[in-house]
Amino acid sequence: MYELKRRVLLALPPVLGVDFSITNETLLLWLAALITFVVLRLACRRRNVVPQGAFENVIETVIEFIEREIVRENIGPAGRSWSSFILTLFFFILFCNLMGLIPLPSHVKAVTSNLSVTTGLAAIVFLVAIAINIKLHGVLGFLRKFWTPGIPWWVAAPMVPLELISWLVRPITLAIRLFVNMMVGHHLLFLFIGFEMVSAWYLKTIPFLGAVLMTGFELFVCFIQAFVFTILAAVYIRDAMEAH
Amino acid sequence: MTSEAWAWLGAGIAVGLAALGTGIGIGILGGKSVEAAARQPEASATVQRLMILAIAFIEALCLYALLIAIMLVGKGKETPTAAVEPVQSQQMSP
Repeated sequence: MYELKRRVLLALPPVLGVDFSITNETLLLWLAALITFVVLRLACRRRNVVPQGAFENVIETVIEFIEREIVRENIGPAGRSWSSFILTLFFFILFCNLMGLIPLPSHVKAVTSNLSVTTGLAAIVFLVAIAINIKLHGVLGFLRKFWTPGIPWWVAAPMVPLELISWLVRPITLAIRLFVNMMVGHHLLFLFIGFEMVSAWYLKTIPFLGAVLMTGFELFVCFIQAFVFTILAAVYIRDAMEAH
Repeated sequence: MTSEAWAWLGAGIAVGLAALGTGIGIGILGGKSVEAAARQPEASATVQRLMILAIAFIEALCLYALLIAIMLVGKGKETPTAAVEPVQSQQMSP
């Protein structure tokens, strides 16, 4: 865990109390955005309808998979206009997560294992949901979503705050779920390597095998968590579009 | 018992209880989805996808508890108290 500390590379003076220094995590964020841009651009460079070659086919398969889950959530033409946002979100989170598997501990880590990064991503999704709500239903219509008409006041009084809280907690759980999965993956890997370092020579292979399996599970978790974040973003957008 | 010991104990209990709930949840989920796939083998791809999605949610709950456990252990670490001489004894020396 000591090798995964954030290292400040270019200390910039704080602007309005916010520290804007460039750390190695900032560079990794930019690298992930660059990789997302380059990969998605390269996959669409040839304008054929049918993708050719392995790379285009893989990206096309992933895009089709995501679009099937999106269009099934937000059915209709409105779903198509959101697919670029959802796809970018998915690929960005996927590449951020996958960078955590590169074994250069003092330079490269999964940027999404920083709570600020996942909070930023969840805040974007949350703001998008609020913006859709206010644009489609107005502020009053948005607030009316938390109240079911025709219920007695002694049921509505506890129900409305509970609905509000359960709606406000959605971006929090979105951020924490992604953060916890990535951070805990690192920690468990360090735990297994620690076991391997302190065990006797005849027992060393067992924790090492555990570390290898843990890395494989980490790869699985990277994909799954990117997919879960994306599908929850699509569900929140669909919930925002629905009129109560 | 020192506070560090209590922190470790709390961490262990937190993860144990969370893993209990997670195990029960994922067990029921796995059983139901295997049953659904056995009843209707054509839907097995859909069932598998839904099962993996639901397992990711339930696993996140267990990982929240692991996060709390790690935070508990981090906060419970006591700094070694250095031997600091009180100021009065220094002033009293002639």
